[in-house]
Amino acid sequence: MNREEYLEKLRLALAQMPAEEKERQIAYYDELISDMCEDGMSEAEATAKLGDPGKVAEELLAALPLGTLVKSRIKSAGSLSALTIVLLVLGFPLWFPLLISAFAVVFSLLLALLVTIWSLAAALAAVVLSLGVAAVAAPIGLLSGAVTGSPLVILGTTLAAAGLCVLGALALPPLFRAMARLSRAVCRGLWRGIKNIFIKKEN
Amino acid sequence: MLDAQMKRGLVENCVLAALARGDSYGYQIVKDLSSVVAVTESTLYPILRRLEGAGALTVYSVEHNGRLRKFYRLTPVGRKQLESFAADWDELAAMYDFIREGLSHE
Repeated sequence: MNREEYLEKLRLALAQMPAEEKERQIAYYDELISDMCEDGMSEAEATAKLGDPGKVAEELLAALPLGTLVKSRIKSAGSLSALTIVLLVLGFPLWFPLLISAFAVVFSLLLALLVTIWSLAAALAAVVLSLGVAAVAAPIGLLSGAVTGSPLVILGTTLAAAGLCVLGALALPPLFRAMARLSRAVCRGLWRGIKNIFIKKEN
Repeated sequence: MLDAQMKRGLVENCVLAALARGDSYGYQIVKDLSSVVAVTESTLYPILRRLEGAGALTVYSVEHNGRLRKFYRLTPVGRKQLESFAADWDELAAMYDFIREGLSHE
C-alpha cells in the first residue's frame, strides 16, 4: 500500500472521528510515513509497519474520551429534520422515562447477577469455615465431656470435616479469582457497550 | 505480564522522560522508546494527545525537507509529573527490594 492509499483508508475508517481530530491523526500518520521513508524504508514497508488502517482506526477510536465521541455524535445529529426534532421534543416525556428504565433494567439485572454469584461464594466460604470450626471443636468437646456419643463416630466425623475444610480452602482462592475476573469483565463490557453506542457506524 | 493500567502509566512517563532529554517528534520517540518498551505508533498518538491535553507537553511545527514536522516539548507541568512519578517509584523500589529479599530466603 502506498502513502495515499493508506491515508485514504485510514480517513474512511475514522469517519466517526470529529473532523479536527481526524485531520490531526492523518497528519500524524503522514509525518510518520515521511520519517520512515527518510529512514530508508519504502512507502510499502512504512505502511506495513504501521499496521492495518482498520485496526489503527479502531485503536484510535477506542482511545478517544467518551465525552469527545458524544459531542461529535450530537454535532452530527444537526442533520436531523425539523419534524424529527419536533417529535423528539414532544415525545420526550414518553421516550426519556422509557430509555432510563431500559438502562435501569439492564443495570439491575447485571447487578443482581453479580450479587447472586458473590453471595453463593460467600455462603461456600462460610460452610468451609464452619467445617473447620467443627473439626477443631469436636475433639475438644469430646475431651472435656461437653460432647457425648461414640468417640469413634465423632472422630470419624471430625476427620471428614477437616478433610472437606482443607479441600474447600484449596478451591476457594481460584474460585474468588475467577469471580473477580468475571465481575471485572462484566463491568468493562457494560462500559464498552455504552461507548460502542457512540462509536458504531451509522450505516 | 504487566497490568494494562500500570503499563500505560509507565509508558506515559517514558514518553515524558524521552522529552526530558530534549524536544522530539513522533517517529524519534518511538525509536527512542523501542530499547525499553515496545510502543507502536498507534499507541503513542493517544498518549501524546492526552499529555498535551493535560498540559504536560506543548506542540510546535518545524520545517524539515519541505514539510512540517511536529515537535513535542516538555512543559514545567510535565516535568513535575515526571518528578513525582520518580518519587513514587522510590517507594515501589523499596517494596521490590523487600520482595526480592523474601524470595532469596529459603
